[in-house]
Amino acid sequence: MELYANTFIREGRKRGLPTTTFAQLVARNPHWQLAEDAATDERT
Amino acid sequence: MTGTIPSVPLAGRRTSVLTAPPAPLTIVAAPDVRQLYIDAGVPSESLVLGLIDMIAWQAPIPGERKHPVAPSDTANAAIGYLPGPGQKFAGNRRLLAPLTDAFTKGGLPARAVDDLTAFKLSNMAFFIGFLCVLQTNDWSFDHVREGGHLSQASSAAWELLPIAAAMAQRPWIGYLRFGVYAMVYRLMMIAMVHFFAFDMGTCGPNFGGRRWRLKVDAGVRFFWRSAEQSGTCSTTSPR
Repeated sequence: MELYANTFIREGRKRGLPTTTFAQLVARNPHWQLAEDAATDERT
Repeated sequence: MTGTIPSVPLAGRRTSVLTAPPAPLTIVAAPDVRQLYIDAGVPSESLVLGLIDMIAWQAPIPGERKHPVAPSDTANAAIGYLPGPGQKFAGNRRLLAPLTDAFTKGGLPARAVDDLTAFKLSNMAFFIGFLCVLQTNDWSFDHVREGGHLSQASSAAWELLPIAAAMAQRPWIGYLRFGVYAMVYRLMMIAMVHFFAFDMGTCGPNFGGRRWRLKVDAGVRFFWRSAEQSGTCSTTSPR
């Protein structure tokens, strides 16, 4: 699942579409790991 | 013949995990991972897109009501599973035939389709936020019902459906977001008790005849029955 999560975030950023809410949900999930490029400025 | 590769190394682009012996068929779960396999030398014609739809858990879990193992019987713990309604795979149909036959004979109806991307991405865009908040809340439907978790899940779906539409090049997927609200997830949770083998804090199929209480979520005012107040069913530990 975290693979899909990172894919959505990465593809959203690539297309300039918002991903903030979803990225915050993923960052709060201790079982999923945001990829480094997907996690940029979501954990700040 | 079968094996799995953890998704975290894939997400981190550590492609060394792909140095497995060549297989006649490789199932790729996410479209963007396909290129990783090709870069690692896996022939593109042997790659098929698909995801084996199955929910599995370490049984028994609290509230489980159908599994033959009692919650107190830790010596006989087992893996419970719930297969999806139908497995779909896209790719070389000649290679897929033995795979779909094996799944079907084993009790998991499977078939080959021409394009799986739109179907998978739209499903995933709708469900992944909901699954994320469920997992963050220890898979407790009670916890997820409280506060703004379902609103956050629906907000996530509003973000993800247009992304799925762009990835699949199917504009109609993006318009699905206009039907996604916290209430949709809440209704889904009520229906789920008929498919899951455990209560997950939803009071099971007898979801009626109990007191109502008022709650507010996502600006939508509505009622639901209070399991804790009725004392007629067990729930997972409320926060």
